[in-house]
Amino acid sequence: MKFSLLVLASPYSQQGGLSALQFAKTCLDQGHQLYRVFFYHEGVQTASALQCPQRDEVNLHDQWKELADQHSIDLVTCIAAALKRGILDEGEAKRYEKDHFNLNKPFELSGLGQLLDAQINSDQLITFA
Amino acid sequence: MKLHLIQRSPFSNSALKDCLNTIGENDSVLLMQDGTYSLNHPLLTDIKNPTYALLQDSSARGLTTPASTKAIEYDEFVMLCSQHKHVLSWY
Amino acid sequence: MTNEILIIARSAPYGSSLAREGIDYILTSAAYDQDISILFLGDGVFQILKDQNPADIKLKSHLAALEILPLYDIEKLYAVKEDLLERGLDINQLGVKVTVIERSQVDSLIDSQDKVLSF
Repeated sequence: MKFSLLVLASPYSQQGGLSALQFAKTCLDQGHQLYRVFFYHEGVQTASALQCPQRDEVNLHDQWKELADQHSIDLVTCIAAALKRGILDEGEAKRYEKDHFNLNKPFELSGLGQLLDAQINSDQLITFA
Repeated sequence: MKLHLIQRSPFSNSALKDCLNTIGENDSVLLMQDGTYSLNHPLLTDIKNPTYALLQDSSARGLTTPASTKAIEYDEFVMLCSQHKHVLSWY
Repeated sequence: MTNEILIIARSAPYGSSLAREGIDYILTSAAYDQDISILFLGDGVFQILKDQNPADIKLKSHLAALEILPLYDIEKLYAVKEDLLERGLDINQLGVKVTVIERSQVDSLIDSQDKVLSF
């Protein structure tokens, strides 16, 4: 079965990001396909490569990156929601004349059309808030 | 046939109430995250729909699952999602 | 391929950006030629009140965003009668044209759709 996930939860303020990660791992363990993980609302903060949780806490960015690298999962961050919250890739940093960027591959910035595409082309889109 | 994911406490948010107000008779309810604080909520004891709770979320919070609710792990969570036409999150 | 997609709007506007971000998703979906319906449920019914005037709190008008929906051929808007009543609202206070349905009709509305998402 083809699953996609919509992550709305703020990574360190809410549990939803951790739940989504565990759900994703279980999906893959069961042999399901993970078509896309879409980060929206406060969930876009997950994409920041600069997050530095304490050593005994889960680094959500790194965990998603590891999973995506292993299973080539699409990690898409809503560009409009990300930019206003200070999540930028190199190209956007240049465009907005900012000195720094914090979004790297495998995370990418794209529009809400990618969420629609995930909803249409997956059997199930599960929201984690 | 829908699966409803309750992700917030019924004492601070209307997620559970809004869901149960409109639930269909063949639907199921899964309590997760702070939604597990609903375990002994009177609204839940009133319904006949199958009710599940994510065991690791309830036990993390020191909650016990009443006999009317089935405690499940992520394996079964994913399986339930694959068995329903619509999975709706309430938060 | 056109899908029937139902968006359940159950967030009140302004205090949180969720309602707004839900509308952004609706407008995107419409641009891709999908058959969109919107159900205002719970606190979501506050989204359709007329006389919204958010200029003084420095936020964009939610109602203005909803008013352009017909331009995208989104005309299937529903609101739950009991949720309006519970909040002391009647149909004369609404700023967009909606079909008022009862709680008991929501289940079959959802079941009739290809895809459902809530904000």
